[in-house]
Amino acid sequence: MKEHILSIIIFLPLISAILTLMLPSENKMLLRRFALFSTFFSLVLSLILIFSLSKWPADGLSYLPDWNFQRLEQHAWILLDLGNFGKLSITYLVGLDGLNAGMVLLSAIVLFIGVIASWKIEKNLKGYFALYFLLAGSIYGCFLSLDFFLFYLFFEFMLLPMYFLIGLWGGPRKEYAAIKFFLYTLSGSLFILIVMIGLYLSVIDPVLTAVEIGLVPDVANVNAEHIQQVHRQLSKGLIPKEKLVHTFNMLAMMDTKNFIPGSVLSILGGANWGGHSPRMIAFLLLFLGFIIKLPAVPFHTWLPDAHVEAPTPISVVLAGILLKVGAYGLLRIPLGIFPEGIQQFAFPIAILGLISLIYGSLNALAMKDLKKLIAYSSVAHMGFVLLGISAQNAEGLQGAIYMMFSHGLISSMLFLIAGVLYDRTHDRMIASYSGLSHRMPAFTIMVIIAFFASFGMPGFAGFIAEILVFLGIFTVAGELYPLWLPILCTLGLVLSAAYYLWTLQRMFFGTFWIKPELAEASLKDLTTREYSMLLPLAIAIFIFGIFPNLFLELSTESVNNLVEIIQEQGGKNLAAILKLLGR
Amino acid sequence: MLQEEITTGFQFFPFGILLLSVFASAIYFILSLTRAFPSGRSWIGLSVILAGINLLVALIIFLYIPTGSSLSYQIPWISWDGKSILYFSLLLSPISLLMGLVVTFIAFMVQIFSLSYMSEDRAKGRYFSFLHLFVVAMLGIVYSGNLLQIFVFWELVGLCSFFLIGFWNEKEIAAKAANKAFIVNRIADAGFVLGLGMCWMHFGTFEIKALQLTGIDLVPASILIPMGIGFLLGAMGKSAQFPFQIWLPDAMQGPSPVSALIHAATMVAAGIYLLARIHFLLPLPILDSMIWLGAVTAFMGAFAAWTSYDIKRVLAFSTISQLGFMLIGMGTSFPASGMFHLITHAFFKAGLFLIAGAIIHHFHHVLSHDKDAQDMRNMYGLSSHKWLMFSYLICAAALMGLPFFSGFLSKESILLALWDWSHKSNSWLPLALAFFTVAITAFYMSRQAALLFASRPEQGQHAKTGHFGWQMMLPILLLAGLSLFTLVSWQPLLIEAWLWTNLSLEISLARVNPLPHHVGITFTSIGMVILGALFGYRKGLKEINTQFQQKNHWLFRLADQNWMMDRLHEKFTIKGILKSSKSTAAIDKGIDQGLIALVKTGVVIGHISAWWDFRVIDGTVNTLAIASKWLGQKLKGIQSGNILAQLRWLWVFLLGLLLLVIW
Repeated sequence: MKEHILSIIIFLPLISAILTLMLPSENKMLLRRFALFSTFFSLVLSLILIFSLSKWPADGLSYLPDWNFQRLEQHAWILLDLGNFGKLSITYLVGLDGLNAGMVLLSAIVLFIGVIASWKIEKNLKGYFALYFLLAGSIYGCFLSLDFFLFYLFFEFMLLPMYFLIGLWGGPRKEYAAIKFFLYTLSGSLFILIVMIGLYLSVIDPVLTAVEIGLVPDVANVNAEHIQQVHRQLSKGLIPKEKLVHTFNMLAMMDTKNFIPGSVLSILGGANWGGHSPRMIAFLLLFLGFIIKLPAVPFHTWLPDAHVEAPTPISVVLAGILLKVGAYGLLRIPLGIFPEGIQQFAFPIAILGLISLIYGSLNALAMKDLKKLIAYSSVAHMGFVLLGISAQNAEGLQGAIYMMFSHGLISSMLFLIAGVLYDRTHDRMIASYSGLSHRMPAFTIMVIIAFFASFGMPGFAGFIAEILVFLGIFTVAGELYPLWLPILCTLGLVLSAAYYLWTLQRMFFGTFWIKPELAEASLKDLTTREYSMLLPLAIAIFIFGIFPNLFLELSTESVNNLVEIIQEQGGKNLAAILKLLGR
Repeated sequence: MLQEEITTGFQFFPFGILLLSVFASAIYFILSLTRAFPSGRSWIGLSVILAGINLLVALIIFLYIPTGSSLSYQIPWISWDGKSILYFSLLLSPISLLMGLVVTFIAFMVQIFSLSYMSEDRAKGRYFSFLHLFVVAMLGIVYSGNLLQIFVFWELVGLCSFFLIGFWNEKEIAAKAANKAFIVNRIADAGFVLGLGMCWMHFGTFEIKALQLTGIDLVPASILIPMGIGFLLGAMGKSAQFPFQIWLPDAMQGPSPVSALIHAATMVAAGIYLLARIHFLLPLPILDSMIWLGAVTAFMGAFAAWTSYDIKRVLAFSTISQLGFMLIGMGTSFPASGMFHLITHAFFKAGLFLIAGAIIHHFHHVLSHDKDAQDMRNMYGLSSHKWLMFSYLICAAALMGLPFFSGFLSKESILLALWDWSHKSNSWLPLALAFFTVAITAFYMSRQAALLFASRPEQGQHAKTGHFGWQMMLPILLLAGLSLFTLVSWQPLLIEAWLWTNLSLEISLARVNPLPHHVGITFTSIGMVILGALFGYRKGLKEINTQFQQKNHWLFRLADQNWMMDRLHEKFTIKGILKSSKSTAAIDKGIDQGLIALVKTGVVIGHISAWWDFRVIDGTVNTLAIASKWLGQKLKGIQSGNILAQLRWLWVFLLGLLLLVIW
């Protein structure tokens, strides 16, 4: 049981989806309660997982001896003999480390809150929750997979339930938003697919290859010695082609010794495409694929539409988790596998982050629709993630991961707030309200918490993230990029305060007034159900703002590993590539 | 370097204050949520008692640590990899101890005053909650030994200021003023972040102690100058220095006791305090620019104060001006003078604001509701309250800088330090501006005194009205008492007494020279004050006699509109940002439409290719099929055995071959 906890987390929602379909569709309360129970169980599981982290350290890791995984589960899945093309291996490999531990926790929290927020949905509830669970399962799968194929499978599969959830339960322009979301994300994942195939052609699984060439009788007995032997033989070209086991294993991809010499993405004798290294191009393609999902300007225009049209709980999941899939993918795949890319492109990536930050904030300032404003503020916050990544030091990466987590909590709260208002009046326009604080004081307090947390008020989780990112980018200013870049980034602090406070002043302060067409009587203060979704988030935002170490301890080790890989391996790779290109 | 005092266990006192206030703030906040705030006085009384305990603890801390030594303590806050990146740390040294005393004392006074001032307000819980939270935040800045921690609490005082300025947020003007204060400060805070970033980049620590040990002798100017600019910007925002001063006059929308505590005595001085804390990090060009900025701010603030009829607005401009003086002091070789003025100013300005609050409270009850209770044109009969008048005059005299009052000594120290600087740098304009400002300060204060207390024609009709409770009298009298020279020394004209020594111990150590004395400076400043005061009093009387008919003079308009600063801010900053936000929104729409157009083109191409598929390709195939069928039928003839027909076909074939070859 214990060793399968990751799989349980992934498959529990998928099983729940099937169970949901078996429940009677007339009994809506039962459906809701079942969904609540199932997501709560996932939450408990992930809490157990997070709090027992150091107790069951993973073992049997021959791929990346320096990288510590807390849990690792591997099963053979597909092994095909392709004759002259070697062998194809796809494994079911899931693992937990510092990069995804926080994301799993975040997903569990947000998905649970999302069910509470879905309480008011009446239309085809059975289908709704079945899709919701499918989405949940693929989210967990995406965060936990360490096999590229498996990751890609979940990554793509996420689109399907999301498309229907927006397209069937959404607002007036739901079809447009759904198709836009689908097309954008799909085109992003095409770039990822290309690189995935390139990687498959270039990388071998040293463990399976060792068995194949007869070094050891079976996988269980493989040790570091054998892997070294495989690497030696591989570099000398001693292994015949048909004995090579090509793999999608991301851990194998992170070690440059597993690349077949002379293959497309290999460092040694890799191809030279008109003065460009395929590895750099692969990095850029992956990067492009993930920043569409993130999203970064100028690939962000699907986000406001998807958010505005999606029903509240789906907006919450979208902003709270799905954006982080993009960010997490960036950290795990391009940074881990092509660490030289981030060294080479730190400056352009930082510029992209800066543009997202400023451009997103300026757009938020211009928005008249509360939900759109929040959507653009998400774009701005993802700019911080890019900036933290571009700094590629411990502060920057920790800041980026902290931003992913804190933004997940805060943006969920923000979208719930927009939902609370929309439920009452079916109007989200800022200009339709004034002085709401006099009618809905408790709601106003929640709004203030969410707004202030989002623009980085100390005491809330967002501040820790922002300050870490700033420390990160200032530390490398002068080396990776000029000092004006971090200075311009501080403008983001001003703009975010400006759009939130301006909204607060217009909607919540002043004398009470609402647009005459709206039903004034509906403006009741928060209900118990709304408290039960807003309060836990507010408390979590507060706790992670006061005790940052609670979260930082989770990610520290992996971040240090990643920094090491970027700085050492990345430096070596970059030098090798430049030599190869004759520069 | 100060002597390091090592005592374990003592850190619980400062932490105790912070925790106690957090606790108090939480209690009052929760009480405010229950809507039915307990009506009895006892609940508010508890708040005052807690504030009193704070003061007591601050006093214990102050007395416990011997003069000239410091105590520090750290708790890790953000850490990974077994090493702490950021600490929550305390640094108890002379300036923080003194500042802590000032903050808790004035907070205590304001709490007592609020007993009566806020007694009729429904949202008392919220008020007292934020008052306590403010004390936490302010003491967090004061006792902090870590720059990032200062920033954390710096934002938190901004938050308290936001909620207290907008306390009556049903008034749109108050909500707007709160926003303006926060956002203008936020712009300056971006500078603070720059300073922090540069500090982290070069030193890798935020601990003030560690920074002091590192020293800055070997640090290149390319680090020190941006870092200094950053911290200076942060300080300029909080301390309302040019061009950030626009938020402070609007901040007067908050309740008067709040103005006294936050926007006169403590929070606005936090910028000056920050500069004192990091004075050793500031390179010479930054210090020089501080003198210029300070002089300009002092002059602009004082000048803008001479026209207003709003009792609090005059005082707000005066605060800006005095903060300018403090900045001048921080820029000279004697930064202790800036801190010195900060402390004396805290008492007399808080006193003035509480007096203004008492007066406004009084006229709220006396005047009919359509009349503005803050407008000095409506204020008469105040001279019958002798205690109020004398308290006001004492505080005003301290502000003007008349001998025998605390303000005289601190202002004198700044002028002497500035004189020393002018001498060294050979630029005399700041000194001239400062002297001129001294005269204007006396002018606007005595004008205000005349407007408030001089006898008026309508006075005869109204006998002594109103009554001030002890809750108002006690703090005002105490603060007025602390505006006398006795606060500083027993000798009325001696600057270098205990306060000065205490302050210079920490922040003037590198420069051991005593403050240069110059009789000329002293006499000129006293002369300026007397001259200004005479003209100001005359002006006030004249305004009363002419029924406040102001001439529409350009100087008057310039002062009345605060140098057009608000209009410029509106026109350039706000409009500029809004305009660019509109254009980015337009760009966004453009991107979107471009992409939609792209997709549409794709769809159109798809349709064309479908048409092509159906008509041309399928059509060709079909045509070919039909043609071949036809041809087949025709060709059947070839094999029909008709020799002539076969020959004909042969001719056609050969001709075709020939054509192909030629071509």
